[in-house]
Formats: sequence, C-alpha cells, structure tokens
Amino acid sequence: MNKKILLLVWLCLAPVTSFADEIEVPEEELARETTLPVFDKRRIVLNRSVLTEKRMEFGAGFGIEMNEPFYNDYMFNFQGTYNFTDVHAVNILGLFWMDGLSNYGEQLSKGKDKNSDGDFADIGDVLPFDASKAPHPVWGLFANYQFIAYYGKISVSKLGVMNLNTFGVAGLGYINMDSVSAFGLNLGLGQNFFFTKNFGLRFDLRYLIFQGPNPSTQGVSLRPQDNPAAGAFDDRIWYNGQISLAGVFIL
Amino acid sequence: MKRVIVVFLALSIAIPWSAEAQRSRATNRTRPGSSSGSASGERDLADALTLAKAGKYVEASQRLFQLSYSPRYRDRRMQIKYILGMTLHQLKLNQVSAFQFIGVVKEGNNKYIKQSLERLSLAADALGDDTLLNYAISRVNVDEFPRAHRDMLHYRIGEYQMRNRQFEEASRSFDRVTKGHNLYSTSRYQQGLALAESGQTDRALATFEELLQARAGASVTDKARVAAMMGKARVLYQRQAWDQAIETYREVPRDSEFWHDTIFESSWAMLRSGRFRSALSNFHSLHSAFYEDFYLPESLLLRSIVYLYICKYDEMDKVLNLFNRIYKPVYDQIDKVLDNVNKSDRYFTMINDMMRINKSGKSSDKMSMPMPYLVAQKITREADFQNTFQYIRKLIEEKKRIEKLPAQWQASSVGSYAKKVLNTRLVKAKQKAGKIVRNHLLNIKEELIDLIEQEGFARYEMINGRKETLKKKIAGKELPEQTIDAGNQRDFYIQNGYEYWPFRGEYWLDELGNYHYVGTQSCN
Repeated sequence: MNKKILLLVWLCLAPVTSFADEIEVPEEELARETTLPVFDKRRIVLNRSVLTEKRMEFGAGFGIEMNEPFYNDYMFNFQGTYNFTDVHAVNILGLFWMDGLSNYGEQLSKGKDKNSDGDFADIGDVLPFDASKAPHPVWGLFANYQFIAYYGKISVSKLGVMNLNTFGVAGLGYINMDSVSAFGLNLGLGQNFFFTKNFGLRFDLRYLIFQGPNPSTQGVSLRPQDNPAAGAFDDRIWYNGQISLAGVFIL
Repeated sequence: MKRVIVVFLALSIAIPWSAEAQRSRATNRTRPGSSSGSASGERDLADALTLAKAGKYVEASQRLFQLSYSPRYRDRRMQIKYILGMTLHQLKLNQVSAFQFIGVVKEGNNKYIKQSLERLSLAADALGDDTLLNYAISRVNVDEFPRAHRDMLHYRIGEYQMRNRQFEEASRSFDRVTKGHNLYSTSRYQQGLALAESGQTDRALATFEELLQARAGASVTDKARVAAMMGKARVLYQRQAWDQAIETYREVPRDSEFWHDTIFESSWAMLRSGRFRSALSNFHSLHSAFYEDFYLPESLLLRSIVYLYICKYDEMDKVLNLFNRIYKPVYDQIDKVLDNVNKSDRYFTMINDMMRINKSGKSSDKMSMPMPYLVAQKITREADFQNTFQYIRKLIEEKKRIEKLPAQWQASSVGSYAKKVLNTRLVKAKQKAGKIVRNHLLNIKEELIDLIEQEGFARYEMINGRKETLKKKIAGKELPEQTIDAGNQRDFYIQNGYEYWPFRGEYWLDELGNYHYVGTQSCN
C-alpha cells in the first residue's frame, strides 16, 4: 500500500463517527478455520506467561496411595525441579509416608474374637494381624528426569484462563523402611496448573516399584506380642500407585 | 536415450557438412599431393561430431572447443560453436552453453542464428537470468520458435514487458500461453496484474476469476488458486469495494504463505470502510511476537491512526513509542550502512550472511549484523532479489557439476573456459544482487524518512486530541470511559458455541487472526 495514503485516509475518514454502541463481534469475523498459519520457523507459542527454562521450581503437598491395604494411605511430598529447557528437567522428590495403619489395617490388627475370651480359637475368630510390625516405607528420595511434553492453557470459567503443562517422569530412588531399605523405580505422569506466572498446583500420578518385605508372609505371626525380625519376611515386588497434589512455586 | 535423440536431431543440421567432410576426405584420397594436414583436421571435426552423436559429450565438447578456435574452420566456426553449445547444454552447463549461442547470434549473418536463439532462450529460461532472457527475447521471432517452447517464450516476453511497464502488451503475451501448459496459471496471474496495473479492473477481475475456476479442483492452499484470490482482493480494493475486498481476503486460507499479507492489506480495507474495531483486531495479530522479524512500520502508524479515531490516546502513544523504538534505530543503521559500504558485492555478502544466520536459527547473531535483520529479511523476499539469488544458486550448481566432470575435461581448454565464464558470471551476478540490495535500502530509507515524518504528525494530533479531552473535562462534559473489560460481561461474545479467551500476553499460533478487539471508543 502506498504509504502516502496514510495521510489521505486520515483526512478522508475524519467525518466517520459511526462507532458501535454495543460490542458484537461480527459473525463473519469469527474463526472459520482450524488450520495454522505458516511461518519459516514454526513456533506454537511466543511470549509465554509461565517461563520455566533455566528456572527452579519448588513444591510441597500431600498424596495418597491408591492400592495400600494395611498402612496409612496418606503421605507428604516435597520436591524441587530444575528446568534445563521448556521440555527437559530434573526433579528431586521426597516422599514421607504417614505413620499408622489404614482402617482395614486397624481392623486386622485387632483381630476378631467372637466370644471376647481372648483366645481367638473359636470358629469364626480371626487372629490379630498387626502389619505395623512389618517393615514398610517411611520415607523415600527420588531423582527423576522430567519430560514436559505439552504447554497449553485452559479456560475454566468465562473470566479466567490458566496455563498448564503435562509431563512424564521417570527416575530412581531410595526407600527407607526403618530396619530395611530398598532402591526403587518411579514412573509417573503429571500436570501443572499455573494460577499466576510463578504459582501453581501440581498433580502427579506415579507408580513406585520396589522390592520390600511382605507383611503377609506365611508363617510370620504379627500378633501384638510378636516382634518378628525384618529378615523373617519374604520379599516381594511392590507396585504402589500414588496420586499427589502439591503447590509449586517457580523461582 | 532421449538426450541422445535430441542432440541427434539438433546435429542433423551438421550432417550435410559431415557428408561434405567425408566427400572432401574421399576427394583428398583421390587427389595425390593435396594437403594431408587438412584431411586430418576435417577428420577431427567428423570425429567430434560422431562423439556428440554417440552421446559422448565430454569428449565431443573438448574437441569442438579446440576446433572452434582453429583458423582452418573459420568458415564453419558458427556451426561448431552451435554444436559445442548443444553438447555443453547436454552436460547441463546452461550458462557456458548460452555463451556459445550468444557467440553465434552476435556474429550474425549465418544460418545457425535461429536455432541458437531457440537454444539460448531455453538456457536463459533454465537459468532465469534477466539479462540473458532480455537478450534472447529481443532477437527471437516468436512465429519461428518451436511450438513446444512457444508458451514459455510468450510468458518470458510478458515478464519482460511487465518490467518495462508495457502492461497492455504484457497482458496480450500472457494471454497467449495455452491452457494446460505448466506456466498457464502463473501467466494468468501475471495477466491479471498487468490488467490491474493498466487500470482495467473489470478484465483483471475476470482473469483472476478465470484462474480461480481453472484451479477449482486443486488443493485449498494451491499457490495459483490463492494467488488468484489475493489478486482479486487487491483489485477489489483498487476499485474501493472495501467489503468485497475484505470478504475475499478472508477466503485466503490461513495455512497459505499469502495469508500474512491479508492481515495488513485487509486492515487497510477495514480502515477505509470505517471498521476500526476489525482493523484493531487484525493489528493485534500483526503486531504479535510472531511478526517481530517482519518489516511493518506502516502498520504501526496505521494502528496509531485508528486509536486516534477512537480517542485512545494512551494506546496511540504506546504504538508511536513502539514505532520509534523499532524503526528509528533501523533508519540509523540503514543510513550508516549506506554511508560506509560502497562495494556492491559487500551488500550481497551481508544478505547472504543473514540468510545463513536464518538457517542456523541462532537468534543471538541477528543483533550483530551490520544491516537490520528485519530489513534484510524484507529484501530477501523481494522478487528481483530472489530472481538474481536463484540465478547465483544455479551458477554455483553449474560450478559443482563441472567439478564432478572428469579431471581431464576440467584441465582442458574448454574446462578452463567454462570455469572462467562461471566465475565471471558469479562475480557479476553478486554485484547485481548487491546493487538490488542497495537500491532496496535506499528505498526503505526514503520510506522511513516519510513515515518518521508522519509519526510526528500523528503525535501532534494525539497531543491535540488530549488537549481537547482535557478542555471538555474541565468544562464538565466528560463522559465516563466505557470498556467492555470493565463490566466483565462476556456472555455476548459466546455466540453459537464460540468461546471467549481473554488475552493475557501470550501469543498462540492457533489464535493468530482470531483476535477481537473488545474495547470501545473513548471519544466524548
């Protein structure tokens, strides 16, 4: 276009004062296509709201184990993540299992004494099974590689938009079970929802895979008066599914 | 095999001479005492022709080149040069072969001129060199040109006439390209342009429509189809049919390379038709981070003018500041380059370096360039630079082809000659490209002077507008500033399943072109 027209337009359009009183986006101006514009270099998003590259991310929260029958399901987590790029990061995850037994574990620990005669020998009685006497995870520390596959945004209401990223996590770690310990594998998927440029919530779905003592080992009695040694239990592979929620802050 | 047949046909003109040579040899045999040197020389030529006919172009070209300089063949030099050109053409040495054909044409007064012009036109077409094309086209007789290549010739003639602003003649030449030829779509588009340039907008529109119909079955992003849409939209703009122009711009698919141009061009149409909000919506896309490497000074001024009309002085101020922040340093840098760089080839080197940086993707290098990156980007997209640049690339490819030929050929006189020709042409072409770059820089500098001046006017109007608003405020006539954002009433945006996503500073590729300005005017 001829740049000279700029001044001309300026003068010609001076009398135009027909502004709409009520804003309505014309139907014909609304999106018609789902294709993307073509550029020499394809970049999906620019001027990102949430910048993670070369930045640290700290988080703390809680979670539950989805398939834990005997022990307290609840746990705390602390984590720190360093993002090398928008895609690659390392994550250090600390897990702290809450002490105690689950409701089911509590019931088992009391056993079932139909006649309340204390001998647990009647038909229908169940011997007490106190799983807390067996070694079980107390805390764990994992070093993970985090692959951030997606960065996007979501509109949860008409008024607000929040950014999110989705990632996969894989790593190795140490699990302390008081008297014994084990190395474990951590595999998971997660998503961050950012409320601001620095603050968000992190959801994780992870599986911890490790070898540890089996409290229901045949021949090992877990009555209140028993005190079995850690070595008395058979080992088995545990696949502990966990979901957790943490608040994250990007520094 | 095809190549051999082509050469065989082309060499058929040499057959009478060959027969003559054989006869001469026979005569020499029957004539004791005649020169044995002459006989061996003529045998050399006959052998060279045999090699050429057998498809042994490497050997044939070596021999023919020597013979072309032999005083014994002074009378047949043009014929030898023509055949040499043919063999070099078969070796895909278009530039070197073109020189042989030019030699034949220049000498004049020989029966190989017509064929040489034909071959020269084809070589020039393959190289895309304007100079060669102009030379060939200015001498060729279209009616005597082989029918198979006549469409190409009409097209090239049309281009030549377009360059010389002979739009009527160009339109006629483009019109002669037959349907079905691979240049048909391009020539129809060029014809539409020529007609639009000559002010025949009705015919131009019809031509673009015709092209659209012809490409109806092609893919949505078919280049010719989209080019026809663009042409149609531009002609409608030229006719001041703003709404129709806007609608046609909207038909351009987003995933076509032309789409970016539609944002700016349709903004002009919107502005001219008083659709300020629509224009501002477009500018939000155009001034997004996706276009930070694009040279768009005029669009910033245009945006500031729209803000002036709706009395958004703060926004106008921001846009004018942005203009100053980007384009005043650009102007200074261009000025400095033009002052300090005198050699044409240096301009080419600068642009070439920029293209390398672009390929490597290192954004840090962009700042270290002597020429502003966005200006260099703009120049590389210009058609005249692209033509010359493609010619340079073809010359480099030809040089590489020579390097792949046998070492003996490269060391021979024809090899040395070919290298010399290509090196000289490369230097000249780079100088030409450099001159083109310099001319564009000069034009951009002129344009920026003009635009910077307009920025001053716009700023003056902005201050004036602010003053008037203040006066009204003091007089108690102030109206409360209305913006939709203030009310948070967004229900009316969500029409028929569309969703409203407030802009938070992020630019997403899939949102480009879908922004809607939701502010209201602030004039009272």
